[in-house]
Amino acid sequence: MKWLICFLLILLFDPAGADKKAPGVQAWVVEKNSSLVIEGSSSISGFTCDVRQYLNHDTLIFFTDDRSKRLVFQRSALSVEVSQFDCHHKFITADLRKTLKYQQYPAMKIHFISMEDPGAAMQEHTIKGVMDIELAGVVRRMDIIYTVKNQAGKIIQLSGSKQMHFSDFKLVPPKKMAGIIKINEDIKVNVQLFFRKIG
Amino acid sequence: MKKILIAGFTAGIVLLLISLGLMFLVIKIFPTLAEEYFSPVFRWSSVETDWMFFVHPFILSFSLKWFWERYKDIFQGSVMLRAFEVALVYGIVAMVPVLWLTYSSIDISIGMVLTWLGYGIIQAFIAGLIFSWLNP
Repeated sequence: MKWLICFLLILLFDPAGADKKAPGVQAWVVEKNSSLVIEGSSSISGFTCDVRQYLNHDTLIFFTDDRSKRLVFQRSALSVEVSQFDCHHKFITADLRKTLKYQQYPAMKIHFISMEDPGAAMQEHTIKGVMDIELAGVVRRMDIIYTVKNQAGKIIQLSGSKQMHFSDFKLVPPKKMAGIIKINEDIKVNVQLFFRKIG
Repeated sequence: MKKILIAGFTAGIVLLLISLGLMFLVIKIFPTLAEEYFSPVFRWSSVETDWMFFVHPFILSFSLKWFWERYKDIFQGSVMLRAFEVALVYGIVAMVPVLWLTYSSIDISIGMVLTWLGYGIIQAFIAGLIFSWLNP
């Protein structure tokens, strides 16, 4: 009897089936050479903060919606360590990390929601995507326009940028000397994403 | 008393405008030095402390006004010369020792300290000009 129950359990919860995706579900792995750059300015000059190296191997899972032909992502996010931001100026780097509350919220997360199929787009054409950006504990849904750089073979390259404000995430940029020396509200986030198709 | 107040507030307003102008000049001419103000040794701007920046020219003007009233008979010569002497005395007696100590304790560049010294001397010179003109 015990063996019969075990046999039935194995049939029901087939561990070998754990790696099988549902029909139509695909996956991309985010490659290490993906990058994120933040362009900003202060009352003194402009600055650029980039992520030294994208160290995570995040996997994006999605299926194609039959009606809209859009890719719909499932629990797919990129996670970028705020401590990896480098603004090439030790004080601005430290101030930016403090502004982004990196000790309380160590990671910036980009949750992919949906995207037009890059495979259906021509080279250098643009596609629209929707994502939730989570920064310092605040989540904002944003549209982003990507330029398809390479969709041939197993690697897809997308580059996109989005204009944002610190106040979008309820953040106050650094100000010193009664506000005369300050980092301006507007920032531009540029992403260069390399995805490797799985399967 | 009325003369002292008029001279003190006049100098204070002029020094406030001068201090803002010099700040923007430093940003324009010495941007790398201006970026040092992002250092964690400097407070983040807040309502609680920002007002102190705008009040400091008046603190200086009334302090220098007291000094002027007490020792103006020592300073002889033209308006310019008297103002220059006041600036020199203020720079040597008040600024140099304090800035020496500041540089020894706080992680800031010598360039920044020198701008503060220049800033203080210019402020004292302007205040000296106003006092020697209004209350010779």
